[in-house]
Amino acid sequence: MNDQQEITPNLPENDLEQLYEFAPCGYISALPDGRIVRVNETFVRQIGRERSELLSGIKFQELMSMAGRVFYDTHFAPLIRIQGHVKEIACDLLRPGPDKLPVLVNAVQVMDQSGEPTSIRFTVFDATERRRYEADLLAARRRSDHYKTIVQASADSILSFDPSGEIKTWNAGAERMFGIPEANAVGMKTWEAISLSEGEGAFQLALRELSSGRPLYHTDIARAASGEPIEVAISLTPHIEPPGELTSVSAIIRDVTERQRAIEARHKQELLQNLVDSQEAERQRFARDLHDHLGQQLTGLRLALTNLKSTASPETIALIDEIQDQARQIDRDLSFLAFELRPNVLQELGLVEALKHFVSEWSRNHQIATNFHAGTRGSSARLIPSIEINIYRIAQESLNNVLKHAQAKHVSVIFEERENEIRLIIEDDGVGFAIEEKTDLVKLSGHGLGLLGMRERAAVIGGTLEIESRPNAGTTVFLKAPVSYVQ
Amino acid sequence: MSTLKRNNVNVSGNGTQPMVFAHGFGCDQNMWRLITPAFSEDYKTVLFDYVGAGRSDLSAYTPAKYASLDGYAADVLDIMQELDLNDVIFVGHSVSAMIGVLASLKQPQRFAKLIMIGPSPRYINDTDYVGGFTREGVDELLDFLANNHLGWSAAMAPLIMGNTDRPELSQELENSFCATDPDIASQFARVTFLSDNREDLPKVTTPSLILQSTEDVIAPLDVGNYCHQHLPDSKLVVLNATGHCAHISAPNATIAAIKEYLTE
Repeated sequence: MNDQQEITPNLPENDLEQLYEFAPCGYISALPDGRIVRVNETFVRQIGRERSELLSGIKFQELMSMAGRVFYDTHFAPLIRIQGHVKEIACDLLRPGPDKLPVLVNAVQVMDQSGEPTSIRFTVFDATERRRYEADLLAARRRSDHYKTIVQASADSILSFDPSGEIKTWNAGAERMFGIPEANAVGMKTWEAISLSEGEGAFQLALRELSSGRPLYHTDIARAASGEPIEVAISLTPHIEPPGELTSVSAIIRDVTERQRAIEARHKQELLQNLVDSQEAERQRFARDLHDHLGQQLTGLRLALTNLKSTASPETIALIDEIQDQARQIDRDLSFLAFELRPNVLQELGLVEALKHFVSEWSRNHQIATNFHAGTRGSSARLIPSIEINIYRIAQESLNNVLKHAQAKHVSVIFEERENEIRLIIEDDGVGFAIEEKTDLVKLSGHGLGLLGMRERAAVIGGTLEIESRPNAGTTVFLKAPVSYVQ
Repeated sequence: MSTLKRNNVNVSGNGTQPMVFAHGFGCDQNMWRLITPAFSEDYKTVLFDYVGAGRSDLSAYTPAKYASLDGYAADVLDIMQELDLNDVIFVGHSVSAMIGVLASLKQPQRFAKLIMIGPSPRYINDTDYVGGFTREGVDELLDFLANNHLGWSAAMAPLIMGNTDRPELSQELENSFCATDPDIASQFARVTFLSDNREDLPKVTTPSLILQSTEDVIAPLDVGNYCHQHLPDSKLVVLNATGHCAHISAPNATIAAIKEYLTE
């Protein structure tokens, strides 16, 4: 110091009072409980309060906001007392009015010879700028934590790799999908961690594509954690740094196996629906032809026979009567056939009435005893047409099977409409048959039972069809389907 | 990981009756440095850090377990079981006073006395109850903590965690005994300042001493009186001390009050 005095004798730096009062930071001295006993001019200006006010018994911590005071009590004061000093505590000091001064505070404890604290010295640095970028940093960290949570919680595999293919990040979704823990996956080559049907070669090609900066999408088959092949949709996004260098690639891999299956199932159902619809249209056309052409010709034939009787001999008349009986029978059969093919009663009266009518006509026509029971919910809402027609056809087909194969004496038909489900049960007391696997309807269709067609119709309306039968113990057809009403 | 290592338990003292010292929200067992020497001759002193504080095992921290004070109380009982402690004088500062209440309700047979420094069963004001805080005040505090951790703890926590076998390293670190993982500190602050243990007080069967500072913004005198009124068999002593940490700011008065109570 003496040397300096000689070189620069008139500098204010030689005046210790000046150095203290106008130092580039605030100085505060306080008693161990925080009561302020001395402050420098810089602090008086920083805090914007009168020196006399500051020295009137105010405690340093009383210049802090509520949160600051809590922090002072829980952290600051214990640190000072135990450690002897505190560094870089960020807090706000209260200026008069609503104004706050963001500061960084350092402090040291001064002790007497017996080790008892006598005072605390604080230095206060204006941290307005620093607080601003800290707030930015904090916001950025919270945002990044938020994105991290999203990535971690994703069911999709989300990973990134460098241009050599080495995996850099690997989320929980990838762990689950491919059964490789993050710690093992990071550092592996991508094509080893995710064994695609196309191996490293295709991967190198993809990397070349990505170098151009364009993202890539494609689907592939990968091996899942279970060892099963899964269909995956892969989206690759390149990260390019100037001057156009590929630095990393992020990949999102989604298991689309289930979705693909659902699409196929829907497609199959549509096909079935078309098949059933065209069958129905064909039947309608056929019924019309029967009625319009054959029916009229038969009527003409019967008229001609009646005319013939007026000029015929008694022997011939007897013969004609016999032919007329046969023609009447053909006419009746034809009408029933047309009715079977095109049940107008279904459109006019609804499913229950149509079933009831058909069962009684069938019984009368084929001389087999039946009983019909319908349990409905009592509402007048009509089932949608595809349910009505398919259930009606299944009932028809079942009764035709009884007629052709069962040699039954009695058939009961039960139709029940419940809250969410409709049921159709057709039970006969006929000869039955042996079913090796009773639900294997594909095999049964080989017996010419038309069961495959029934199952298809059930599938069209989202239902299931089961058959129970044993030799000499009758057969039961059991249909369950969800309900859907005309809006 | 044993309980003793998990909670960085330190046992010393020449006596047989155990005194368990439980630190509050903020720092760690170093907070008791000015108090424990006065009891080491006559008692077995047990110091520990809550999981998340000081040199506890941070990997033992699970947000679900420590989402309520019960998780911390369970750890206190773990320590007592591990060391086979009975007839315990439990000295709890701040939130630890309530952790001691909860632990004593679970296993009253272990506890001889509860000594509470600056207890508060609820920090937030309620109808007909003055806790000293508003909900907004607590939110402001949480923000404050987040800001300060950015300054120091975020950088130091890994150093402290990674070098538990070299204690001299963390000695050199500033503010280290009050530093911890920011997420854990923030959750501990939430649990501390948002808990409500008012209904637990009347159920306590262990006799208790309440040490109340004359000037405490965190647990004001009203709160000390409330505790005294609702804790059966309790004694209230108002210490001529400022701040929430009488054991730091007025260690001699604190020691004297405890000794007087224990010899009564």
